[in-house]
Amino acid sequence: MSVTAGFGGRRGDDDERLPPGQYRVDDFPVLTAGPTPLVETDSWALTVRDDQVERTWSWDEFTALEVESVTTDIHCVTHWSKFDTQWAGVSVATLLDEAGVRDDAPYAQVYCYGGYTTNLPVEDLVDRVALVAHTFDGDPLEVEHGGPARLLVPHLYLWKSAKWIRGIRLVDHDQPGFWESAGYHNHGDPWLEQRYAGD
Amino acid sequence: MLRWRQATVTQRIAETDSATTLVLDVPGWTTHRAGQHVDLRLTAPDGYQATRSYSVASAPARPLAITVQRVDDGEVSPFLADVARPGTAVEVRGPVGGWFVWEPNTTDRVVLLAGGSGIVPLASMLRHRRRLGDPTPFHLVYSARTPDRILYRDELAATTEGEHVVITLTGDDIPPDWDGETGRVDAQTLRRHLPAPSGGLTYVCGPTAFVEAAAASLAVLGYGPTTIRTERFG
Amino acid sequence: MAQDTSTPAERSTAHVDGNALAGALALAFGTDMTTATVQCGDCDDRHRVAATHVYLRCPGMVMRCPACGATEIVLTEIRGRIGLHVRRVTAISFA
Ligand SMILES: Cc1cc2nc3c(=O)[nH]c(=O)nc-3n(C[C@H](O)[C@H](O)[C@H](O)COP(=O)(O)OP(=O)(O)OC[C@H]3O[C@@H](n4cnc5c(N)ncnc54)[C@H](O)[C@@H]3O)c2cc1C
Ligand SMILES: [Zn+2]
Repeated sequence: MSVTAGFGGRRGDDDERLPPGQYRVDDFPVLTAGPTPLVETDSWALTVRDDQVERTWSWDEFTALEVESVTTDIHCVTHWSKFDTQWAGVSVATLLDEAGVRDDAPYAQVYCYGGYTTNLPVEDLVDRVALVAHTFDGDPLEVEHGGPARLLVPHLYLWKSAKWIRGIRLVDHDQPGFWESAGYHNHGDPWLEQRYAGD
Repeated sequence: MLRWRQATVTQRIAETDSATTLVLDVPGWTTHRAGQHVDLRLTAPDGYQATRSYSVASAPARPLAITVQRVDDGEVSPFLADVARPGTAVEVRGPVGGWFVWEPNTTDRVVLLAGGSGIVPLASMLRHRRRLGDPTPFHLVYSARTPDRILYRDELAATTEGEHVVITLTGDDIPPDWDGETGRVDAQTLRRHLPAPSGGLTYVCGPTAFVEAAAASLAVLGYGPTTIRTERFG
Repeated sequence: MAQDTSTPAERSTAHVDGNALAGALALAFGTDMTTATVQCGDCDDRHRVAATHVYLRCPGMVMRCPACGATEIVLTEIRGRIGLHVRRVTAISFA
């Protein structure tokens, strides 16, 4: 490795709101690992299940649930962070409650339209701010940012905040998702800089 | 063995207001085939790295040169196009790619379709042909937004026997003195400038949208999918 | 579980193609792979690596079947080491 004189990347910010190795952006970069999946809200559905019960909401049912709003910083493992993003949606705790799933399952698997998956401990979904968001900046969430609805778990790297969410399944055994099974960290805490397995 | 090698910029040539050719000295560099690219890596003082691919612009056996079109809000191309100068150290890995290459005496005829910076690997093919005096007929259709975005303009215009070069401008403000083609590369444009689809290989390179549209137009003209090689720059 | 009723956006231009993976794959396999032929594990389509759709604006590099969009290979380059994760591929034939 040798340093290229004059190249600073896009970084160089030492704001204390920035986790280590992050730089700040003002736009909202679109990251995607595949073609954007289009789903009409009339055929959209969200399922929450465990090994016993399963609950599915249509778009109208989902958007009739109690809305929670959050303003938060978000952090992508590709090094950018965006401050004060404004979201609204349904808290995951509300969805788990309404579904009546067991409250002792340790892990969650997240499924998405288009095939993406991610995994996280249930406590990251219920003890911290976690939404299935349908609104960004006061407007319906745009499809390239995960609309109609995406998971938002702002205290973890953004690959956990799965776009185009279709279901959450609670399980006893953790199973790594799309990036977690390809060398990315299983938990992904930006403040601990948990980018890659072993960090 | 393929690995990252230290490279030093030895020369910087302003091709246009927004594109720069960098000649690189790479100890241990062998040679490349026309159409191949290198992966290029920059490292910031804090260890942060960024890697991008750049096609080799020069002809095989010539010093390694790349041409970088600046993408205004990009991370790597503004550095290469505006900041890098003789002495700047970068790392390269390559040459790589065995599909999007042209070898002399392998095909009856070559059709090249370029959009924007997609001209770079195709220019390497054309330069190779000229250096060798290879007689394979070449037909190039090159689409650029505005005249000041045309790379290698004079060199492309200096056609030799068997070469057909057409440049089409796709931008809104076509200068009054422009006497070349205008408009996007579609089936009609191609029908005007390309031979009937028999034999030969076609290379299409440029932004993804350009490549998809050009390949679809070639299909309309009856060019068989197995005779078309594409490379998308994104 | 809710069915995946989505359809991929048509004429998406967010991808490049398998040529962009030439360097990383050559490190992983020790030879040029852009001329190799891959058979998709989901739809059986056979295509050159060069013709696959590759997504680079994401944490790693994702190579997808150009016919059905299935994830064929996920490549990562973490601390200078290539990670190759083969997903929906039934066969690779070298040119
Ligand atoms: C095989 C190959 C050969 C190539 N050869 C050449 C060549 O010869 N010459 C040449 O000039 N280029 C070439 N390219 C393109 C080159 O590799 C770079 O993509 C280009 O220089 C832009 O890089 P950048 O770092 O400046 O821009 P980036 O920082 O990568 O950004 C490029 C653009 O994409 C946008 N963007 C970036 N990330 C995102 C995101 N997450 N969501 C939405 N938008 C985003 C940016 O806003 C910007 O507009 C080649 C590409 C390939 C694959
Ligand atoms: Zn397939």
